[in-house]
Amino acid sequence: MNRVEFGELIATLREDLGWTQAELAELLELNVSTISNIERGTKRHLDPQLLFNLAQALQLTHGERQQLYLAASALDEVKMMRPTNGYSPDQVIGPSQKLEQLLQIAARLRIPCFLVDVYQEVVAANAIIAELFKFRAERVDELRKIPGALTVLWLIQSEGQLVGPAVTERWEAFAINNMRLFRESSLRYRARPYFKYLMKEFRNPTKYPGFQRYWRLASTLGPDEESRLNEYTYSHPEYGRLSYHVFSSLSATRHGELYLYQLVPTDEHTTDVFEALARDSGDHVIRMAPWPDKPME
Amino acid sequence: MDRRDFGELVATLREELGWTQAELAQAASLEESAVSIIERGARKHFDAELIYRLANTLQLTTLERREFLLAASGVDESHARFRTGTSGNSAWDAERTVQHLTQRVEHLRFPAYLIDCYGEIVAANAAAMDLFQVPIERARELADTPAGLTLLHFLYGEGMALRAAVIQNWEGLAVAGIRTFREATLRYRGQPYFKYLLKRLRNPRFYPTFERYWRKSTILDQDRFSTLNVLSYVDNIHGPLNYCVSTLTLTTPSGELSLAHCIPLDEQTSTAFRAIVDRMGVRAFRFASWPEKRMH
Repeated sequence: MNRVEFGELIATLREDLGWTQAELAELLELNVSTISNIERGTKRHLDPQLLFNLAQALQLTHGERQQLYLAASALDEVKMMRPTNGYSPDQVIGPSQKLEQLLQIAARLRIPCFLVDVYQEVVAANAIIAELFKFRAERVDELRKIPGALTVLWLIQSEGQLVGPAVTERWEAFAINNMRLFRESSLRYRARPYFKYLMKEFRNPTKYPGFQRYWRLASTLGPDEESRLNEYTYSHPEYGRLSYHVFSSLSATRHGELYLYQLVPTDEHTTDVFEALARDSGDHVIRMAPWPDKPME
Repeated sequence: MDRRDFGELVATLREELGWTQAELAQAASLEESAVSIIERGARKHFDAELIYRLANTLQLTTLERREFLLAASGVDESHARFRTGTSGNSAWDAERTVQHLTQRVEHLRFPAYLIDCYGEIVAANAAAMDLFQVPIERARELADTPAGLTLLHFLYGEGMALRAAVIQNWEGLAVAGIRTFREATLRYRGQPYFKYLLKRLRNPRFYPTFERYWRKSTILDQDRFSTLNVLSYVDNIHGPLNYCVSTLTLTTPSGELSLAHCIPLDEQTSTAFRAIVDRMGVRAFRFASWPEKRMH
């Protein structure tokens, strides 16, 4: 991300809090012209103290901060990748090749898993999780037409009658955690048209009641790293009492990170259920949200 | 990490490659004095091109360079990582965090372990120790051996069972171990404790083959862009094993803790893991001290 893009990002984050440049400047004890220079991308050097103060003023969680500091390095996305020949940025492993590798892993894993992008849109799900949550592959085309419908949170709301009990028992924690993941994974992409397009939908209270509240809550609550380890125990109508942790792992591409979420069993019964599903449902994946291109209706 | 620490990190990464400042300068097309200024922490600003050249010259993988960029941002982590807002971090308790994570490791039905930013095993479940073929009592004794509680010791240490047990594709496992270690430790390579561990690991008296693979792992031209690690090897007890090690990294005021767990990729491995858990039971053990580190 170059300085101009970084400037746009800062402007977006500031506007999200509803502040003017003057208000942000006052909070940071800086001249308005400095803020204006940062946002126009004409301030070349961002010293550590300034970066820290920006992160602080913009109320970022530490996951968001890490993304902000990566963005502030001014390196192009492609230069954040290792060139396979040592030096030239055009020699990096391409995004489609990386996606293919991840899909192959997802297909082979003997537990339910799904792959999401920086917008928390589900790019793919393995056959085990589709079977567990009775997700029909035919629904994908239909959902692709609805903005935001393939993001994790809204998939669960609209499709997830079966996940219902897992979620409703601790809705508040679940919603905040999801929102925090959405905030952190999307941070470097907040000024992108696609992010703004999604947010416009999400902020419509008739379509997504509660979004605004959780969006705020996720950034104002204190740090709690352990909440990243989400544990679920609930009764599935078909498979009985299930217990699992949800873990994620990161893969870096020039189109942003891809996260593979895995449902890892924490008791014997759940282990058996997942293994039986793995045997019966076969090793394939369902492709869902488009990636890396993000068409807008 | 402030500029001084960053300078030390650059110097350490350069020395790991066995280069002089002049050699690094030449490889990165920089003046020799520029390298010296960076390493002394006297350079204030790092533009994108300079960081890019350093990362390439130091042969960092994609995952390592993310850590390198964070280090280069210059923001002091001790207060940057945790917001000092309403809740602050005054209540943070290292011991409570480790206990909590150890419980998670215990309940997972797959081999799982917790490692710190030096690659030391802080906790592991019984299934993981069985998979590594390290009896619990033996692991406890290893606390007195420098680097004894790193996965690398299990892989490369003289007299460790795992080394003899892997009868096919030991090399794949060995290189994966080093590369994971490299990523986890990147920002801590300039720290005395890391240097102490690495010095030991590079000593051929204790680890005859480590040096060769350590070198090899940096020059391999494939990238490491994912924290998922697919392992495929044959051992003397279970036969062919195919699993994916997935790592989740948690940030704490005392550096990262990574929770790694092994997910089977085929039915045979599922069955093997199942048998291990049935035999070993659901238990977890604490090993390396954390966050305090002691050098012998």
